[in-house]
Amino acid sequence: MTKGQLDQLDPPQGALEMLVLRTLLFDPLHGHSTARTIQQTPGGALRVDHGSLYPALQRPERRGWVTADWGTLENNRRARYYRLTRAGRRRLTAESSRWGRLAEAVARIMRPREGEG
Amino acid sequence: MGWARLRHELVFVLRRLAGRRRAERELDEEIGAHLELEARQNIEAGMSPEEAHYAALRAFGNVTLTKEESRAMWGTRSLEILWQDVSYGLRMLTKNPGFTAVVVLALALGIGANTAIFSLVDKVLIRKLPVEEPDRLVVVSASRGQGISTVFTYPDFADYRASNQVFEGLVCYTQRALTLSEGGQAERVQGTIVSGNYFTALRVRPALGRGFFPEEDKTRGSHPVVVFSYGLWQRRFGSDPGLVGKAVNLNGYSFTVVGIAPSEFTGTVPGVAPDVYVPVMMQGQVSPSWKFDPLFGPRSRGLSWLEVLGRLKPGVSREQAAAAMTTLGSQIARANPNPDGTPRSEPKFVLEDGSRGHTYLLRDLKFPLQMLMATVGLILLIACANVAGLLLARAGTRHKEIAVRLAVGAGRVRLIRQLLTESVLLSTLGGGAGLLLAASTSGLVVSFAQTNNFSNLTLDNRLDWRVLGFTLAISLLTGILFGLAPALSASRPDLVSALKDETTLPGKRARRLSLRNLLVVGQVALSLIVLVGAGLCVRSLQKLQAIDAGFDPARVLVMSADVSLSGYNNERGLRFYSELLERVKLLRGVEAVSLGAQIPLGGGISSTLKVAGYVPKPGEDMSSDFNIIGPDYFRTMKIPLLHGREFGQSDTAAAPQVVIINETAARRFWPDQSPVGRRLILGRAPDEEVREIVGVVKDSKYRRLNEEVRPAMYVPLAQDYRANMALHVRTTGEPGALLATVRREVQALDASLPVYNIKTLEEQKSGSLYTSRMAAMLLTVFGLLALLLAAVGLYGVMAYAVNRRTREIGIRLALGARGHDVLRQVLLEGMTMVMIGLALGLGGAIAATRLVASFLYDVTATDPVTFAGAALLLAGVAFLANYLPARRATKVDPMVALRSE
Repeated sequence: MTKGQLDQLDPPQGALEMLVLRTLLFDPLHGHSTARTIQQTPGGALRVDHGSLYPALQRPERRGWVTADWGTLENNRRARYYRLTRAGRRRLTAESSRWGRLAEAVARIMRPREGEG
Repeated sequence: MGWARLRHELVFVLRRLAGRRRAERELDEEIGAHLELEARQNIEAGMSPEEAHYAALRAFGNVTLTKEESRAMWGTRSLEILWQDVSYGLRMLTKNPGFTAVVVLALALGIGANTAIFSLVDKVLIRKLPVEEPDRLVVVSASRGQGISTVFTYPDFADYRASNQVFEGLVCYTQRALTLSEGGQAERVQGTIVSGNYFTALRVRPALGRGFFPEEDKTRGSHPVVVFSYGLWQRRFGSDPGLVGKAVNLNGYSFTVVGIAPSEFTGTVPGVAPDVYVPVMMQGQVSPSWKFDPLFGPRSRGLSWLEVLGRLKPGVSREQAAAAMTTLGSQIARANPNPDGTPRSEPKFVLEDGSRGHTYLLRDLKFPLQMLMATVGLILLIACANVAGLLLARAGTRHKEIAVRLAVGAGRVRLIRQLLTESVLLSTLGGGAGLLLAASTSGLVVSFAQTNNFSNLTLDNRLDWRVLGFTLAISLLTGILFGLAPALSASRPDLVSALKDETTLPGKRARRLSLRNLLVVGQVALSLIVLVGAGLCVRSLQKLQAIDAGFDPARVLVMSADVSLSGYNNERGLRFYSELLERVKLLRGVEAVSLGAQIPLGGGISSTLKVAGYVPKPGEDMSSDFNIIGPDYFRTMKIPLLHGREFGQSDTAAAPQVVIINETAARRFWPDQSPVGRRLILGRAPDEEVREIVGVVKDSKYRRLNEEVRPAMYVPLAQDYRANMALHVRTTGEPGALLATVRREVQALDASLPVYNIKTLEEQKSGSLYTSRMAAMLLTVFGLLALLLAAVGLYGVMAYAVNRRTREIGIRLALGARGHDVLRQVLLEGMTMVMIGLALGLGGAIAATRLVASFLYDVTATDPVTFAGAALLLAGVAFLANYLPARRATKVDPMVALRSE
């Protein structure tokens, strides 16, 4: 195992779902480009197995936050294109604000003096 | 929004579930496309194709896990597990068809018996009237001094209805048989005479047409209208909607059909399903032989004949209403003294739950039904214990399979769930088979309810959703009941020894064996209780059959006719009956012939009496049994005449009023002298008659075989005319052979007169024991069933025990033990269980049969003969079931046994 890999973080399940929704905010994407987009996060701090994306796409679909339609790729293969629904947008807003507050709260407890200094 | 989301999720889950294979294929395709895209991008970044492929896989992670987790997100997991369990269970059941058949049969018998009896219990004891808000209905009765009466006079009813403040509606009714003539065909139908507000107050909306209008409830005889039952409309008129508005002929009068009652409504007296509903104002047309007007006549407050049902106003309790009615009743009684000026007694009202209607017909059935329900409950318990034993035995043979599944990591909960699914599958199959059994025997079970006292009792014997629900519930319950213990114990095996196939070590798994033994002990004990119950009923029936009725029932044919249906008046009716007697007397094969208003052993009529010079003790019952008879009655019935004479042709209406009494009456009122020539007063409302005693006859049973004989009075038909009489014909040969001839004589006198209720006195006598006989029969069947189940259970356990210990027995035989010793040891082991079961069962039976004591005739609930007989029978059968496997144990070949593993 290399050092670089050790520094990467596994995002928790809820966060991965949120990231997926965020990725789909502007354009419908298929699974592969979603994975790539998330992986190309600035800094590359997150380690995301491409595979872990698929479960993270199923639940939002079940809940109706994303819908999926089959589309054709250039090599004549088919792929499912995921699109954010209106409910998904609401969910994303709610989740990201919740996430922000959570991260802030955790950060304050872990490094209490940072705010003063 | 919550609903929309739920629906969305449901559609998602169901679509994945329905198109499972497609969904999985699509997931595969999606992942495949993903990997290919990634590989292509890797190639573009300069990797070799092979390198690119592996890099893509690495980036993706665990493909199988991804699929697994994605599927988990579909939410179909628990349904899949259920489906897996069910299909696995079904495979296991079809793999052992013999085992499955035995278990399903045992359960079918247990569940079927419960379903059949429950469907009857539901109809008789549970079901409410199919009207709106049945809980507000009350049965009205009142006590006046001694006794409580459920019937009222019409004028009192009308006053109560008009003046009370507590009832939303008050209705009255009574039952009368009527003759419906249509197209030259006369048929006796069950009529209910009802107050005009019957349908509106009960809130029953006719299926077709209307109920009665208020003006049809005001004046006597002015509105000949009738409502037909749905059943009669279907049966007789082929559901012809044009029937409403048409005229039909009832009792020789033309009535207009104004409506058809709804199909589910069968009147307010469970057990009596009326064919027609006639307004009480048409009473004169319906029972023309009444000598006075019971509605508005001067003596109408002297005759109580109408049952009353009320619907309470909302918020009024039964107690409040009863108090208010008692006050009102007193006012009305004071305002209307008796015709002779004496004050009327004031009623004290009692209101009882009327949600099931007037259930008095079914009261006698309550106890036998409860007894039967308890018995079939025991049978089901025995069946459960039996099946649990079989499952345990099979768990022994499936030991290895279960151990393997546990060893490869199946959770215990998952395994128990699997085993329970199997047992519930079994019990559901058993329940289905039981339902078929119940459906095919439901006619028999309903006929159980049709005792002689109300032989026209009609109960709907279809199985409805309530019965289906009951069956489903007990099926699931039994599945869990008998499956739980085996599942718990099977899923806790000793893995190591199971996998090593060490199944024959003696002394191991004593715990499971003891559960199996416990089940056998329980079965023996429960079976003994059922057997003792059956034995007691059989003994009681034997005693009942041995009772001397006091008349000779052999070779007597009886049949009923009602000449008022042909519109005869008294004179014409008397002439008809005396001509009929003359004609039948002359027939070849007739020994004697007479008439009786009441056929013995089928209910009866009472009359109060006063005897000059006899002062009744306070509270002494001065009522007597009463019958109206023709000449030669006692010779025909072979009831010996002790003093005086029979009635003859000379006892006409104009002649002195006469009466014949029985021995009991003679002994009680004239203990020291002959009563012949003395006078007594028969007080039957609303008249009183002074009569001279002309004869004394020996006692005979009147209402029931097991009754205490009461004083009985017989009066001649000519002096107390009754249009509805039964012809009694004593024949010299087979009575059935004369039926056609006698009927021809009736038709020669009046071709249109229907003859009904044809039977022999023997049939009447055995019919009067119907409930006892059916109880004895059903209980005997159940008892044998219990015996069989217990024997099979014991056999199974012992055969299994011997089988497991083949090696041990082989070693002992090899070491010099004789077959005799082995036999004794195995027998001892089995019979110990049986003896413990018998001891427990005896205790249980003593406790249980105490409850049935009131149902027994001349047999104590702890009858030693019955107890000993049942215990011996059970012990004998158990010994046989034990002996067969024990004998097999002695046949073990030591060499084979030792080499077998």
